[in-house]
Amino acid sequence: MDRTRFEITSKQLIFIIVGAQVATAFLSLPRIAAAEAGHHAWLAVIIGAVFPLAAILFTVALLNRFQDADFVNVSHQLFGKFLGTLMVLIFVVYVVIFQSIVIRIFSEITCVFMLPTTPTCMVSLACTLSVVYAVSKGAKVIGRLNEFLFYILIVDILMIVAISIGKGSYLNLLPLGEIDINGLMQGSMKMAYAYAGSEVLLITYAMVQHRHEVLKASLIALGITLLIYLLVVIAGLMVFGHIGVQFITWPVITLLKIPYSFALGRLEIVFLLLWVGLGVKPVMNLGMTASYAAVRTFNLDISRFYAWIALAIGAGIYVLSLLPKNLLQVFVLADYAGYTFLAVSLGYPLLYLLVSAVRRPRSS
Amino acid sequence: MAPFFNRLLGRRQKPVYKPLPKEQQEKLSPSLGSKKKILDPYIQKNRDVIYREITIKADPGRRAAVVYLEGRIDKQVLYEEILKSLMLESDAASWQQSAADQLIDRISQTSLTIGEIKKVNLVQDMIHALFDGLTLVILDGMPEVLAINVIGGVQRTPEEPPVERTLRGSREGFIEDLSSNISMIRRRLRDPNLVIEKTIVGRRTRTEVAVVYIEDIADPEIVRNVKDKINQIDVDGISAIGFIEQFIDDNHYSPFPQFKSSERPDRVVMELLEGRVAIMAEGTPWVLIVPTLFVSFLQASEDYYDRPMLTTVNRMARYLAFIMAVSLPALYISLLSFQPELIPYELFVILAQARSEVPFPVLVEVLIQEIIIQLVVETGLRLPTSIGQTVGVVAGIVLGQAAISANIASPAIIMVITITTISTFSLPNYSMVLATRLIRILFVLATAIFGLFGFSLGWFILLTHLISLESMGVPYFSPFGPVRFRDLKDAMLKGFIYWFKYRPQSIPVLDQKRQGERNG
Amino acid sequence: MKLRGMRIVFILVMGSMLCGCWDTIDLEEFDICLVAGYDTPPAGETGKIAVTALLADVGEKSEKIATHSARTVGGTRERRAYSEARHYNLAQLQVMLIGKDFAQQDIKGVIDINLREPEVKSSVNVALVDGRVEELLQFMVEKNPRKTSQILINLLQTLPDRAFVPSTSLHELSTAFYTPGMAVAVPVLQVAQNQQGVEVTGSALFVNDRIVAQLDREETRALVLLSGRKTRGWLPFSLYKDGKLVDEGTAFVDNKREVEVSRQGDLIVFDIKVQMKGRLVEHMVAEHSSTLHDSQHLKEMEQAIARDLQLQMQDFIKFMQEELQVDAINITPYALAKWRREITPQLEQGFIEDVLINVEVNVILQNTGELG
Repeated sequence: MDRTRFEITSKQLIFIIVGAQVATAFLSLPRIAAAEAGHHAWLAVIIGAVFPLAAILFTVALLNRFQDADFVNVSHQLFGKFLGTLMVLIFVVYVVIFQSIVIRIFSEITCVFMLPTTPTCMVSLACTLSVVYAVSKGAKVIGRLNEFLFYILIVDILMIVAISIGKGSYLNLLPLGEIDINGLMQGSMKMAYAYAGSEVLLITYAMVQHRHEVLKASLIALGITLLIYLLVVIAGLMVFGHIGVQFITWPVITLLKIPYSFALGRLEIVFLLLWVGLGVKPVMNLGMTASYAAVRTFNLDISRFYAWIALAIGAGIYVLSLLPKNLLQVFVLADYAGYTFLAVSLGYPLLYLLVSAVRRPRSS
Repeated sequence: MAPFFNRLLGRRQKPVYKPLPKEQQEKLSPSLGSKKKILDPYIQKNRDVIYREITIKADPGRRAAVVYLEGRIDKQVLYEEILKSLMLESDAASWQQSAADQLIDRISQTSLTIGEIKKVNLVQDMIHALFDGLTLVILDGMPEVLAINVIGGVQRTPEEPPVERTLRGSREGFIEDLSSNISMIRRRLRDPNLVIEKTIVGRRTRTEVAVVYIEDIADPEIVRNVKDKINQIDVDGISAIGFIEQFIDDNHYSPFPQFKSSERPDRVVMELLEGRVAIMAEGTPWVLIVPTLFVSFLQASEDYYDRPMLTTVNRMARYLAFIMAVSLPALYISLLSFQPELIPYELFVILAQARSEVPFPVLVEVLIQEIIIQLVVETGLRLPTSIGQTVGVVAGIVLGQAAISANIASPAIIMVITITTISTFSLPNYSMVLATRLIRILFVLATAIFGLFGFSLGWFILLTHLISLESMGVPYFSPFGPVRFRDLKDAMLKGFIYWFKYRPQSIPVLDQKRQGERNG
Repeated sequence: MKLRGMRIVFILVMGSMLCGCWDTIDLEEFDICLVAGYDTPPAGETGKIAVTALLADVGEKSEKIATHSARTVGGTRERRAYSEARHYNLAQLQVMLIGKDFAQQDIKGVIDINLREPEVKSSVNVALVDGRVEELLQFMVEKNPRKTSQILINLLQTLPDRAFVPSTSLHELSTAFYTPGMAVAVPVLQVAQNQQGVEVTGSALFVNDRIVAQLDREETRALVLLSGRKTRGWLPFSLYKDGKLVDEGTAFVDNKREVEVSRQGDLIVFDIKVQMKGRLVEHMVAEHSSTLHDSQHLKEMEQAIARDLQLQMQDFIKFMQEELQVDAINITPYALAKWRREITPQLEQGFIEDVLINVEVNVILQNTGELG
């Protein structure tokens, strides 16, 4: 395996970013958004996008300053060998912790909806193994996979939109005025966490073949995510209302149980058939970036050690995912993980920008 | 998974290369006797090697001999154009004019009325030439031997290929003879840029292998890659194109065929025009087409000969067939024994009633039926057509009925397995049929563990695998992953012929343009 | 060698998973519950709830019922576990029936357990039984041992396509919980007067977790038309002129509703426009001379239908505002959409009784069939 396996097109970058963002989080999104922002939850989704937007702009601004935009190289250049490696490792550890929560939530949902008596650890193991398999194939394959799975996701989204039109009422979204600023702001903060995953850009930036397209691609990606979230939140509000939606843990799945469908029995089947492709994408994408960063920072032979590192990171994710005792604890942890996402995705580029401004004058 | 572990462990295959025996690379000595001595062991052991000494009219003093393999030559040509020419008609004047070292050229220029003659001066080449079927003319006092191509012998006449039948396509299929096959392609594709390069594979079988491509369309990178890989093959012998396929494919641990083979010259020509490379081998009526995409296993030649709107429907049906062939039994298991809530009520009642008498769990039921069907199919393949059909009918109908009335299988599972089998065989390519069989079993096992989740997991892994495959460096699952919208009109759909103004994007080519703008 | 080791580990892992098959079920080991009924416990039983399940016996191709009582719905499952031979499976639950006595107490537990259970779909049909569910089901199973569930499912699902009765799903019933000041209508079943089968007698209104009113068929029709649920059905009518019966007949119509909300000072005014479109199915002219080619006569018929319905609706609105004091016709969202902040606090204390609701009915008979 050579470096060409880690070259992606800007189109694939779009889908990698979308894939890293849109996963299990969007299943509970209407509930979380409506809890604070009421019937203006959809507005919170839009405002929440400001944080990842800033993160993307900072990241691009930072990496544009360097000839070799490889995150590991940049870290080493700015912080020296030891500190730079430490910074990369912190990022890797962040990915492992964050994705262990994603895997756990994914497995819990799987167990609730499909496999009530199967041990969660077995479900996590199966997912982690298949994710490691995908990660071991390299960034190019992951990019293609994300693109393919994105089109499949559209099927789900269309289904949700159709149900919300059929079973929901637009009245639940009105009036547009009467904004509760306080709640909206709190809701927007929570929504910002839902965009976790945009930090893949730190690593994937250097993999893109034409770097001048990166900014445009990542903004498009953010736009797509925003649109998906918007549709989902509006669907949740339309069908359940902003009060009703708060009783339901995963409104998006519950939504699918509502219509009586003549031929399929229940529409969840469509959703559950596509379930793995929907839920594990962030683990896959961020796992890939973490493995790549780890291999690069220790300067290992990528063809020999990348898959090993991927396996090790997968093992780390798996073990950590077993630790929380129950789902409520996972949700609490997910909230903390949301903070760390903001810290990493905004903090990293800002800190780097600061150091690079201090350490050397701007070069072309 | 195996290439993954391979990569984990950083394994590489060591090249094995065994040089030929040293003495055979020596040059021939001029005397006839010494050459005869080299050939003697072969002549004594093989009754089909004919060694005949002759006297040449132009130079009666010089000893000469003709050596050939009895069954491989066209005797009529040998007698008329070689023996008669040399023994009765050769012109002494022209022989004596030339210098000693040019004499051999002189002979072939003046005395042999044959098209293809080459000079051989190595021991090894002489022996190979003899066993490749050439006729040797050996002259005393000359270090070179003439190897003359008068290959003939019995050949099968071209017939309609039994596997890739079409209604409106040509009825001609490749045969075992390489040069006839090449002529079939040349006849259909008269482009001077059509290149046919030959090489020899197999130390002992010495099979002639031709690499065919259109020089100003095919990507030179792919052509080079193909030639390199074929030249690297070091094996004692190959007897079918399948050997080459296995030697040159990129991912050995994959159930999916990564190159397509075809028996139809019209099909091969179409593929060449799309910038692909064809590999042909002596002795096989199958031609390997490189690189091949997943979608081309679901395309049939017929698609291009009929009205696009109709063939689009056929093609969609084939995609459905692939999906069903892979996943229908798995879906049955996951719905019936994991998620019965997802079955529509009316269907549920029917399925549950059918299941209620059967003593086995659904998984065992599926596996039993699957194995039986595999055996029926396998039997049908090996037996002559008429008996095979009878066995199929007997096994299918009688066994199925008996199983239902004995309550060993439910009617539903018989239907599921039958539909699956029919779907499997509606795929146009047999390699793909085999692949779906294996994957189907894996899917059944995955759903037996995790139900619908296992089903979803299975498709995820299958997709990852398909997307990660490459055929000669070209992404195998294109145009679906990576998605290439331009090519989708010949993948999911079969568009109108004038839509294809450009060659497929998925395969790198030198010349993109295919049609004039004004078509359509 | 290392490679082989990895492979063996992988095969072992997969194999050990295969030994698991944790969730596989064999359908024949299950009692598959098709209809669940909720009653107060019969005399002599302790607890608060009796659950009657209509179970499919797939082997015998028949259906049977089983009743268990406990303090909660889950508690009845515990009881069942001890006394029944097979597992209890809710995967194909299609209909929930609520006994009238039980509905007057508290159905919160029923809603909670069924919404919480991923196996149960939210599109399960809900109906109220006038009497005891157990008796109704017992009656039906005796009449029709194989088709009870099918009859109930068809009855409840197709009802709105032929009568002005709502078909209520679990999802709709649950909205009555978290939406203050809102009532949900549920069809009411009972054993038919002639003891031949079951019949729908009208509907019942649920507010929060209990029933507040039972409506007869005419009231139900008014409610359905006012709430804008998509239904269609037959409307018999009589046309009087100068106090004399001129014509009598039936129309088959479907309905549509539009709501406009406005304010006159503090008073909120709802203008409900109900439009019904359909065809004339029959009419018997009392006076021999007139046919329908006389368009005036058709118009008079339309007006007669509209007038009757309008009166019924106005009665219902009065009943709703004065006695029920909840919004049974789903108009509050229109007001909320305009003045959400102002109205939300009022909903708990009663909002609907202080508004003005105007109704206008418009009937269009598009054709008259083959006869003029």
